[in-house]
Amino acid sequence: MKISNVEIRNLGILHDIEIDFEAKKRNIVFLNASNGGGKTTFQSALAWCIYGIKPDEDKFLSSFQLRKIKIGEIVKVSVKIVLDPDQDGRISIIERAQNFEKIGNAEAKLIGNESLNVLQRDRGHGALTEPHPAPSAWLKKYFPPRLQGFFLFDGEQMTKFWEQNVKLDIESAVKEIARVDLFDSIKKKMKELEQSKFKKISKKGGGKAELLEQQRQEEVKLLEIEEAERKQTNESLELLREGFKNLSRFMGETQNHQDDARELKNLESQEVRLRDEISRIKREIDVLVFSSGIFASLATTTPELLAQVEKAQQEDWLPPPFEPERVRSLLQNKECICGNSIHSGSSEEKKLQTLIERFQIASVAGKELDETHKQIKILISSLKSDSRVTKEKTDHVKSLMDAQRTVRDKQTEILDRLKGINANEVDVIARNYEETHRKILDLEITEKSLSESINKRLAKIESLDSSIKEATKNDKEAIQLSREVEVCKDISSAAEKIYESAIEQVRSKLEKAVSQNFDKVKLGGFQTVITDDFEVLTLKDGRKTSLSEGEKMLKGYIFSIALRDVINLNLPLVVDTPFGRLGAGFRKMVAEELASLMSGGENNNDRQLIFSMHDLEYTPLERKYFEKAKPKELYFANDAKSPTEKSVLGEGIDPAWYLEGHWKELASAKKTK
Amino acid sequence: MTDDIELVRNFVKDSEFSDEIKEALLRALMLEKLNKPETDFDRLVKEISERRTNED
Repeated sequence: MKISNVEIRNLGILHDIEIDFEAKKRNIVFLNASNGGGKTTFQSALAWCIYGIKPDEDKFLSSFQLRKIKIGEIVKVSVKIVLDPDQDGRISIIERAQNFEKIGNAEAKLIGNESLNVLQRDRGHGALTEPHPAPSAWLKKYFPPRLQGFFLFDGEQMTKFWEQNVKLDIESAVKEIARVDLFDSIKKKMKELEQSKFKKISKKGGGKAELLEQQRQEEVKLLEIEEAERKQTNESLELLREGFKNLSRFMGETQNHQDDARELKNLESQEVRLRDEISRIKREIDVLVFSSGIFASLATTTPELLAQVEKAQQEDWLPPPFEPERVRSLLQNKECICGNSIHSGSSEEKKLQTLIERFQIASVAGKELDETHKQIKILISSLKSDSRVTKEKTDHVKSLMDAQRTVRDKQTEILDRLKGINANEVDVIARNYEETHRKILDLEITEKSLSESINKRLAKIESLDSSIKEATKNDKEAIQLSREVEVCKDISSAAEKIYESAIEQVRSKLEKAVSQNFDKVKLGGFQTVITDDFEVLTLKDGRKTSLSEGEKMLKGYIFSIALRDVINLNLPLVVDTPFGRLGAGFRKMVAEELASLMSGGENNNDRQLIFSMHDLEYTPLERKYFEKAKPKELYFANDAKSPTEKSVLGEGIDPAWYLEGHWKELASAKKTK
Repeated sequence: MTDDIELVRNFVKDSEFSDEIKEALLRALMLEKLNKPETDFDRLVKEISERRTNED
């Protein structure tokens, strides 16, 4: 199926546009415009024409017509899409229109119902058929609303394609493909029939049976309530488990960060302890240095004093270094300090007498000098001692400062690792993880108790069924009704099983198609799995693996294309801003792969990709990436008569784009060449 | 695209249910597809039930 032509009249800023997509020759068309240039209007025109999604009223009737329209005048807004070929190989024309009328001075308002027509004819020849009798049903068949997100969408959606919310889209798409809604309806119908037949049976059995039927009905009601509760519990559990899975993943990924965060806290307290210790010892050193400073200032006079002492020693006028009173006493006792006796008249006695005499004859100045000399010696000795203590303390401070530096280095190293990560946030998530785990355990208990209660109730209902049958066993009509109930049960149970099996089959086909296509991009046996709750996972060796932003987006597109293959419905892929916020580095991969998926080939001839891009998204680089697929380049241009409206479709690149940015560089380079 | 009713018919045909249930499901699918009223479904149920009775 390909869109070959689109005509838009009086819609938003697209005042009067006719686009030929050259569908026979081209698989890829770029319909470009700068921001505010009509890309979104084009998308909403398609969404309205195909899905009946009305544009916002202020963006519906073109501003051009809003200004021009006269009181009482009616203006038709219309979008016409030509599919050539359509899904059945014919040409189909879809046209949706809505009238607006200006009544009085108020703005023009839409009047009447919109019209929708689908006309068809065989390709190459034949007149158009009469309008299709059920155009909405036809559109729903070939453009299933539940697949809209995979046909007509904003590229930004692709970057978020694998986030949790996409699961609902995938579930919806799988159900659409499997057409399981029909089985679901049959199951419900059969349940209703079963209930009404039971009522009839009980009536046949008289008062007792009717009483049993009343009990049965109550049990069925309670069963429904419990089943709804269990469903809700399971949904909550699923959500919590999903969250828990993400938290677990985060916890796994951040295991190192958590360790780092803990280590950082340790280091912080170590650093505080070291800082306190260093300050305390520094204060002690200051005190020592201060006191030593006083001693030292006193000691500044020592060279002069020492010189005087030396001179006095040379001139021999210093008192001898002993206590004359004590020597005198020893002499009187005739006893030496060493304990030997001193004989009278001995040379030792004479020497001692001489010393005493010399001490007595020493000058007062000599004595004072001698005293000062002694004090200086004490001072110097004290200074030496203080200096040693200061040195020891300084050395200690140095080692503490080394330790502090090591701690700080470690802190810096960890902070570098934690760059962009909030250590407190990691801590909060860790607590959230525990909380979620606790909630899951609580809900699992609730679910278990509900399941037990449901099983008991089912058994009770079965027993009531038997009792009712027993009470009506002699009534032929009741027996027949019981048989019919069995048939209802068999059909509803089969419908339920096929519902599940159909989903399983579609899921498996999708997994295979996505895996095959993705394997062309990411070699190495990567497998795609769609889980029971419709999460699409990429596995490597059976383990979940992560993809880069570019790979994720590409896989989104591959999934979207694979979906078409599985349902054999080749919807075009119409995307506004197809690369979204994808980094430039990944665009090459996505663009080249898309070009390859779309560019001809036996199986790809009826594929079509229509991308709307702005000048920052479609640059000479992107043009190069798609070169092989030979895309058609178109752009919305302003109408010379009405500069605010787009009524002209240009081919190639908008000349205005060559005036700045990448296109300007390209133009300059060409000129230089 | 495979016609949706054809697709679901294939799901039924490929299933492992008895021919009786397959037939019942296929007919129920047609009734559902054609938006037939509940009485038509009831008639289908009765018919299968009678057939079972006769077979017994």
